Amino acid sequence: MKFQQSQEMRNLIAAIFVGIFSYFIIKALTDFDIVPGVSYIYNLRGPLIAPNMITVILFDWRGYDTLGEAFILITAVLTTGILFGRGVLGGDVSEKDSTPIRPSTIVQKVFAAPLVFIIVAFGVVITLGGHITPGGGFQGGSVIATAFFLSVVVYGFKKNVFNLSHNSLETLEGVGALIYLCLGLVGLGLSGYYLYNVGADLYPYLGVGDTATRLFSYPDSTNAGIIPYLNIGIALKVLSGFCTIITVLWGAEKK
Amino acid sequence: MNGSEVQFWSFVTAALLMIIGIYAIIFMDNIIKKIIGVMLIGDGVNLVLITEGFKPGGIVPIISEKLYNQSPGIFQEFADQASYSLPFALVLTNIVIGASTLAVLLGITIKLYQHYNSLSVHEIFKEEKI
Repeated sequence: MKFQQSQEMRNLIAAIFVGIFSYFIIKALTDFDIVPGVSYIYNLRGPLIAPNMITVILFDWRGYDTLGEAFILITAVLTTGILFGRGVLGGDVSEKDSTPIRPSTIVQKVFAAPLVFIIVAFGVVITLGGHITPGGGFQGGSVIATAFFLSVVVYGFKKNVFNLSHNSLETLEGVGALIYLCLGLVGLGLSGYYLYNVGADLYPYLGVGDTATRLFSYPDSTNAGIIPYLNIGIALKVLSGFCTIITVLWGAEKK
Repeated sequence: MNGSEVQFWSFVTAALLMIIGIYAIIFMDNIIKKIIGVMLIGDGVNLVLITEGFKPGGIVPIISEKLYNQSPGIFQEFADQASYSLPFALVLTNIVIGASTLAVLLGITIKLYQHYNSLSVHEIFKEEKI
């Protein structure tokens, strides 16, 4: 049987199952019962570390989840890179001359550069103050990546403001992931628990000591420990990951 | 609308997003539209998580300086009032995973287009035996 002929029967069966699925998902979500779970404990103990509860959960209580998620991003970057040519399938995409499809107007060229600097400054503020104000590494890195996209769209690859080559982006991504891994190793060495927040030290009976706590002090009044440094690592990684993906997808062309 | 009504209709919206996503994945012919369907399902799941974290009459789970200066025993009061903060952190993780998945899906789509010169599933599988 050819593909074309099998379609009518398949559509009928699929319609029935989509109907059943719709009924059950609406029924499940309208009868939803909300249980706070562990959130209350996080909210009770979290302010001892830093004011922004979401960053504390992301980088302290659930640091493992964030580590795994960081590696998912790295895997995505590797997969797109393999699909488009760093590996056996083709050459280096950054060597191609990828000028903008349509030349930019004078207004775009004049106003894009200052805007890029402002966006980068905003992203840095979001990253460095992520444990106090709403924000964090993911958001700051994404904002800076937006500035990179803007610069690439307006000026093209060869002459953009950042002047980051494919190799330096990869190095940056490796540095970001290594910051995260090595800060986790400090906790493993001093307390026996990987990614333990040695700076905040909520459980003094582990015997971390004052030296490590002072080592990771951050110039503000909170007790955040290693969280700001993890923020910086994640911001570098997200920034370079998104920039690499856009570089690779931009370099893809129709054969 | 009061808080619990907002919560109820947010759940309904999330369910509709997921149903539209499933419909797009199964019935649409164009691969780009299928990818949009996948992303809609992800957005529906994110909306479910955010709505779970929402607490009617609650406050944002960030201690402000003003709140902290009010009294020394503010932590207990904050934990009683604040929204449930775990789902927000999960959503933040899920957004980045969604972006990674989208990048890989688009990359595979570009490769498919280069190979078959078409994005239609019917065109791609025209010669395949079932």
